[in-house]
Amino acid sequence: MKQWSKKQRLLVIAVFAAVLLIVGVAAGALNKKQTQEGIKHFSIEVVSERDNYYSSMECESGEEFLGGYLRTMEGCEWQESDYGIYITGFEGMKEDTENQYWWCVMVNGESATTGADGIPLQEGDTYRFELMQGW
Amino acid sequence: MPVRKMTRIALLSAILYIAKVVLEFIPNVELISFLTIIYTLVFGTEALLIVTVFNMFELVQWGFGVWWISYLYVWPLLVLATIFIKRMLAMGGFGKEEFALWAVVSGSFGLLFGFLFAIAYLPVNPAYALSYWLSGLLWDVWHGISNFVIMLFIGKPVYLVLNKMAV
Repeated sequence: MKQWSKKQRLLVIAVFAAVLLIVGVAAGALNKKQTQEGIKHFSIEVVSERDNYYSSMECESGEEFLGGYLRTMEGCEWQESDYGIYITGFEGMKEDTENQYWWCVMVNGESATTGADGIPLQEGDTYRFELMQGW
Repeated sequence: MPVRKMTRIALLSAILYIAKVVLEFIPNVELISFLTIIYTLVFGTEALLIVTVFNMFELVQWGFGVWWISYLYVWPLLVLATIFIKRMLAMGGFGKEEFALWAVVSGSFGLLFGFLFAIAYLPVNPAYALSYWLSGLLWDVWHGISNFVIMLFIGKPVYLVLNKMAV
């Protein structure tokens, strides 16, 4: 059986390291969030079919990201996680992981693909928090 | 199926599951990719049964979700990719104990994990699948680095230990 030479091994590792670096830089550039400075006006909706609850309110904040605002929002229950803020409840309506109830974050009607700490607050946006069931 | 083989599948899938639970507190650092590649190197296509049993454990613990559909093809795909690369090595006259290569394979799998995972979301919402993948790309890079390092440093010793079981 032939074996790879040390040079071949180093070459493969170097190529892979270069790919990681390029993808890392590209990912960083793609995910750089454009934030707005100053006070933003936006809407917050909280919806829970389980609790027969719906509320909508107009808000304003100077925070850059939704997560920053939620940390100061009355009625929002949350905890810190490795991925940033993790929402556990609104107005006493708590998530229920045993029964697979969790709070989904939506921005202008679309499910968010990042946590609230990765969502920039934008003037006129609507942020909806809906209690969903099922992973 | 011989009892010895059945017991081995049960044991190795349990190790896979425990390895996942133990490292769950560190984001995107896992031993499943590493163990799946090693299992495939040692036991060949038997690894397909091992990852299937592991997927069943996940289903029992977490219940059904779209993520589980991803699991159904992601891990078997890694097994098949490993078998394919192993055969390519053999065709070139090389042995399978090239752990620099397996480190790159494991790292590449980590790097592609978000992409592969997002495929299950394509029929539901293609735009969501794309943004899910792109928004998690930095985590995929981290996943690739951790997979690469794990295989590079403990690949060979774990492979040698497991090889003794393959009688």
